Amino acid sequence: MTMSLALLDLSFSHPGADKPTVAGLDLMVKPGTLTALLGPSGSGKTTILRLIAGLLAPDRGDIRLGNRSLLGLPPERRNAVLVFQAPLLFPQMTVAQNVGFGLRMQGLPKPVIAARTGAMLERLHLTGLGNRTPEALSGGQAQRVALARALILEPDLFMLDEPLSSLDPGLREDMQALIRELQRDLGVTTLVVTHDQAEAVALADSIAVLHDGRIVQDAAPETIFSRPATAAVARFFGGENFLPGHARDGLFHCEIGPLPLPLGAGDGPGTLTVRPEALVLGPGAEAREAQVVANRFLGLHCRVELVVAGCRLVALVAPDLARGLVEGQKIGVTLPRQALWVLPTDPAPQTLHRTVP
Amino acid sequence: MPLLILGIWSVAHGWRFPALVPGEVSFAAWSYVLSSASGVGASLGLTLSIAVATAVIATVISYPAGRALGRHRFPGRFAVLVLVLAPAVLPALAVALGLQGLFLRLGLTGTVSGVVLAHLIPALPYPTLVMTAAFAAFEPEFEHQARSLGARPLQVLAHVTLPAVAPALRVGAALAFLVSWSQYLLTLGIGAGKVQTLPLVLFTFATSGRNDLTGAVSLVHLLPALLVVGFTLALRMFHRVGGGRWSVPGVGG
Repeated sequence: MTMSLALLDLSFSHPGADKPTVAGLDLMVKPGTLTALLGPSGSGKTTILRLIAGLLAPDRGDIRLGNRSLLGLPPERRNAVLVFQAPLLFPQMTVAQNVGFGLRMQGLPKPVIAARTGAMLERLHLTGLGNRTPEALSGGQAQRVALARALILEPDLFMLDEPLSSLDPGLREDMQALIRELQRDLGVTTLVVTHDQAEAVALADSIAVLHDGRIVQDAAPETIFSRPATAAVARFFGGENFLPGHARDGLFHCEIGPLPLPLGAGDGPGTLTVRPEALVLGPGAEAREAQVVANRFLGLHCRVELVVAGCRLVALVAPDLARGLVEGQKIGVTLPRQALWVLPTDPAPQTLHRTVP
Repeated sequence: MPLLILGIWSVAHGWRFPALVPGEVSFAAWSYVLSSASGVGASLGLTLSIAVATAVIATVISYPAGRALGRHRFPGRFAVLVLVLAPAVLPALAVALGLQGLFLRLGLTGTVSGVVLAHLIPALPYPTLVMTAAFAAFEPEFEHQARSLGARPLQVLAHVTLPAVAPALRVGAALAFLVSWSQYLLTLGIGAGKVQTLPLVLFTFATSGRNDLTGAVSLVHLLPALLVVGFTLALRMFHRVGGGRWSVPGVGG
């Protein structure tokens, strides 16, 4: 049975720290889905996992898995298994003994453990490695053993702390696919901590962006890209175009002139943002005149810097379309209406702190 | 070489100065030493018991001490380390004299438990230092991982922590055993002549001028110590084959 995870007003301060590491955090992970908790290093991501795993106790708030609170339960009775950044395989045990560790601790009969261990090894493409020692494994194999050792317990909540950060790039993509496949097949509610937005996008049903110990936005990856909650979130996901202005009568007035107001945006001051890859270069009915400032080839696309009515805009376009564009050249640029999004102006929500009673 | 001479001494009869080899081989010394009349057998048992007790107690104490010292950085940690080391540095005579007064008042002089307590003072630093190093090299996340995988605290101890520090525990126990085993001054001072361990018996023979007896008792005294060292080394070799690393480079964040 899959369960939801709910963090309610969770707060934690490391002893002696002047600022709380986790400050009034609310987070919901729907049953059987994978949420990526995304934030820069030192933003308290690992602390949150340790709080849920029971290795740290929160100062305030609640952690609920299904319909029960985990507070006060020791780690071994939470059925919320944490896989650490390093594989941490027990060196005196074989691979199979490592995978069967949790079941042995539960006192299950040996044949049951052997059968489930064998099935798990097969599932993680580790068949034949059961009798090896952890030292004889490659980095990717060790990481898979660590996953198997956790998943064999059929946890209510599966937690991964930067699971791919120690792997080589090629291997990392294979592991991402494997984690995604296992998570879907087993339907286990999963929380992955990462500082890599590409990894979060590749893995998650939902991305929770952490800033200053709080969640600034929790949404599907597409939503985070197209409708970021704050300028900081937009920047984190590669947003580069920000136009301060004022929304009035269905139009957004800014330096480059009035633009159609995106649906759902109210009147008042705001910052208009449009993703670099959404800009269209070339003539068009709604094209504005722009001057090319720079054009740089980046492999998959070209990064074209433009100035439109004194405002700097960045466009990411297919190399074919940017070929031949040189500095100083005049070109048309269109800001498609469906790609526009208005952010609230300062004070940005992430700088607002909940007042501590 | 000294072993060889001791061996020759123990079987020599009438071996005087210019002669290069003993004139006559005799097992008289051995038959005396191994007989119950000499008291060497009883003394061997007593010395073993005291050394084993000292080793066990010192190792048990060194576990939490080494864990605290090896794992945590706290103010005064260096001072604690110096205090732990001090008994190994201080002259045994000074310790013995100081203790004698205290133990007299506590009624511990002349008792075996008093001698064990006294032996603990020079014995404790060695296992404590070994355990400090062992815990400093042991990544605590292994314990957290085991808890998260459903192991209760005692299961973590039995399946994770003890296997990780077992080699250090064995070395520490062996060192404490050896310190107690060869202890002379403290046994003499606290045992007050009533606790006759092998070093005391040996000294009596050595000062009496009986080279053959001294040689035989010395060998009796040497053997268990050699066995302990050999056993510990053998286990270490064995462990290196099947063992692995309990530390993780670059874990953090």
